[in-house]
Amino acid sequence: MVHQFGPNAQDAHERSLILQSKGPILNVVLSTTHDRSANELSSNFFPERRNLKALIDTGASVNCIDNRAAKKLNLPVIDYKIFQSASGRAPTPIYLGKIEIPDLNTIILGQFYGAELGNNNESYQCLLGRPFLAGFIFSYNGAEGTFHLARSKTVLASSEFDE
Amino acid sequence: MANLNDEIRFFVEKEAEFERDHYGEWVVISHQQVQGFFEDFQVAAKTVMTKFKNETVLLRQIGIEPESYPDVKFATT
Repeated sequence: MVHQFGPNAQDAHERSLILQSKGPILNVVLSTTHDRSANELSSNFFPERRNLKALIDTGASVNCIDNRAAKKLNLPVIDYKIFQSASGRAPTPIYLGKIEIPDLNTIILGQFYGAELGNNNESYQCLLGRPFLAGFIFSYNGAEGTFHLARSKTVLASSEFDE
Repeated sequence: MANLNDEIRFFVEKEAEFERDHYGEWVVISHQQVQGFFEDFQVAAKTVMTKFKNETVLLRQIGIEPESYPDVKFATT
C-alpha cells in the first residue's frame, strides 16, 4: 500500500528547498508506557498521548524527546547519561516511550534522551536517530524534495514532504 | 520505591561480569537484581512496561555506548 503524507501542492524545486531547510519531519504520536495492560500496542489504550513533529536524523545514534513533553506525558525514566558541559557534569534523563506513526500504522517502543527541543527555530519536538531506523527502510531524495519510510522489507508507505 | 541511582550502582558493580557474559545485550535491573538479559530492545522494553509497571527500573545496553549524539541541548534533571 502506498500512502501519501498530505497534498502534493508544491513543485519539486520548492519541496527540495523546504526539505533541505527543515529536514525530513514526520507526524508521530508519543505516549507513556505506564499503567497500561500487558500486551497493548494498540493506540486505543493510550489516553496520555501527544502529537509531535519528529525529525529523522541518520547522523544520531540516539533518539531524543523534548524534556517538557516527556514530563507532561509522565514517561518513565529508565536510565541517566552523564554529559560533560561548560557548567560541569550533569545527568540527562533517558525515557521509555511508545512512538506511533499513524501514516505507517506502526507503534514501536523507544529509548529517548531528554533534550531542550522546540525552543528556538526547531520545528520538531522529537528526534529519531538510528535506533528508530533499525526497523525501517528510509530513503531521501533531495532533488525531488521527498523522503520515503517503510517498515522492514515490506513497503507499506511512502512520504512526500509537503510543508 | 527503589531509587534509579541504586539500580545504576548495582549495574556498575556488575559491569565487568555483564560485559564478559552478555556484551551487547540489554539488561533490566530492578530492586538491585537482574530481571533479565535481552538481545532485542523491543522485547526488553515490553518486559519493562508489562512486568514493572510503576516500579523503578534500569534498562541499559551492556558495553555499547552511542557514538554520535545529535547537535541538541540535552536536558538535565
